Amino acid sequence: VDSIFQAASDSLSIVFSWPYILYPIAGTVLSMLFAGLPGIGGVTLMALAIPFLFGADPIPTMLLFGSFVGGATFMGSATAILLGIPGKASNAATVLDGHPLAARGMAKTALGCSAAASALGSTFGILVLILLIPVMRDAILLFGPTEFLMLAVWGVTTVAVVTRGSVVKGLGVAGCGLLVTFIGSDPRTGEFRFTVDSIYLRDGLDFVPVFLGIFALAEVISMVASSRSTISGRGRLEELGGSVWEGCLTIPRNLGLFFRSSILGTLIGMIPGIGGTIASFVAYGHAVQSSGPDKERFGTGDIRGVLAPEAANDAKDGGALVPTLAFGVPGGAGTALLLVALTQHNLVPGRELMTNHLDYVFLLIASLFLSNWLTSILGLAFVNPLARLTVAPTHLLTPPILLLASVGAYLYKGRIEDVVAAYAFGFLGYFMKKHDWPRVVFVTALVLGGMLETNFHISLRLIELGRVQFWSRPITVVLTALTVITLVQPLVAAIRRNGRAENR
Amino acid sequence: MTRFGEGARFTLLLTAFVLFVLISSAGLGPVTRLGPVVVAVPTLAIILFQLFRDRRSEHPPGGQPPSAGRERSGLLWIVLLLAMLLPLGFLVAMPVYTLLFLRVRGRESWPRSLIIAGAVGAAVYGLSVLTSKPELIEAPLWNWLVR
Repeated sequence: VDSIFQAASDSLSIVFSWPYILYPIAGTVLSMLFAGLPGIGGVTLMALAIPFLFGADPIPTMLLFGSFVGGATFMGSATAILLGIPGKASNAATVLDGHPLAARGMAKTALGCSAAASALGSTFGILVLILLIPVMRDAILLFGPTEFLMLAVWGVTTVAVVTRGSVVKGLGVAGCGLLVTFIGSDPRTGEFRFTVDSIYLRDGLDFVPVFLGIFALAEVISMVASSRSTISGRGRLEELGGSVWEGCLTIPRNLGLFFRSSILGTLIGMIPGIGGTIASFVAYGHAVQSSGPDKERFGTGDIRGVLAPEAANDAKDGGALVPTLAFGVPGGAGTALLLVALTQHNLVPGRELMTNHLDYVFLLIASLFLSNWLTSILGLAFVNPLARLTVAPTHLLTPPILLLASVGAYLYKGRIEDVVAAYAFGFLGYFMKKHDWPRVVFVTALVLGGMLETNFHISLRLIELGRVQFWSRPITVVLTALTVITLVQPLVAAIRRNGRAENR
Repeated sequence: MTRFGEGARFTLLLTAFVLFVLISSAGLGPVTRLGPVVVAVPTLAIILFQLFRDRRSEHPPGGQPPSAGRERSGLLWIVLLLAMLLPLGFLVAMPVYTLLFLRVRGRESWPRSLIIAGAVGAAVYGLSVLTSKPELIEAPLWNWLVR
């Protein structure tokens, strides 16, 4: 516990020292600008930032990535409230009551509530994360190769099954992502696989050009190929009415709902792949169910319909960092990119990170905390000019993003092949987006592929030597059971749906 | 003969990739091919099932798709940048592309297009100096001209 307090106090003194304080502030502002562009979002910013931070000091990387995760939260809900266009899918539940409130001239009330719920909800999630750190350190010791193997399998299947859209496509694209990680030399035999005699592919594909393509370039291609003249498709913004203070007061007036939504968000965030969308809709559903006789007000502009999803959506960030930092299992695109940034600095998630580099973990947490509050405060102060970004012409945004993505891919290792690879994955990402093949599943499989194959071979060898009995390890058995349940559950649901349809 | 819709064509592309992995695996050692084969076999089954579903469904998923002409021209604009980057290098290709894109695609005014293209060129030069990467400026065509 002493080491945890020491790491926490060290990281806080770094975050609030000059010039390091500039990083979370700059990261938050950048994140707000990107998150204010519906469809582009904070993940694009993370993908663009990774090559520029390669080889840099790890402290700025931790501070910037913490602020990228935290800074994107409020702006997504601002566009949901003001325009009815969620900045991210996880802000979709906020549209249901936030936008009707704005239409009734209470936009500032909804924004005030959203900002307060975001900041307080994230604080709740972060506190839970800090409390869980000692438990996480002990839990990691219980994990051997078979546990890590099944954790990776469960992580990939969960993300594939629960991500929005078709389960078949989710599982198919997860398999393709895993197959891409096999390109290059085999870690055990050194034999080259699927390199088509290309020297570039012998070391395997780097995450940076792939992620730049799949997220940043795919979004630009989508923007150029669409017929929208502005990012949001809207021509102008209306004046805002209501009171920010009145919105903030919604939290103390609905304290029980706030805590219940934050607990739901934190717990859901800990499960890989579930993410903010489900957290916010579950919290919204809970708010409707627990509202008593005035359920009908939901959907027409009830402030509790803004409070619950926003608190849950932001509380889940703290929860999502638990599997990411402890086991290297990302919960979504943002945490997958965070893992890439960590591994670039030789910070490998797991016991090593949670004991020897705990100060970096706390830097990330402190930056996340700071940026969540900053984004709410700055968001409320500058909501009008930021909202104008959504009516910015698409053709003005295209060249700068293309510049950052192309130069970023090149600067990473100084290879023009990385630029070509980034564009190839950009086209792949665009068609995946267009045909509803979930990109987040593809990148999760890419991130977990190495862990999966390494532990697969080690487990097989240990079993061959009789050193490990697969079925005698309780955590392995539980994770295997969870994987089977995850795979079977949608099948059972489909059979039930068909049965009900036939009965009708 | 059956025609494949665009969604099915994309699924076919993924099928081809998985088949390539499976066929290439046959030439690898038993330990090297174990992981790829274990993943590729179920993936192929899943993707073939999706291909079957795609052929039955005529409507593309998601919302309103972009018009074919608009999409094709958008994709060509991206390919154009890549085609310019390889011979011309970043310092020449990025501002020229920006100018072309803003003038032709965005129908932006000449002064504004020139200012933004200039800013993009300055950004590339600044990044080259900041990161000590002169290769951002150099390119095959550039080197040939200087020689």
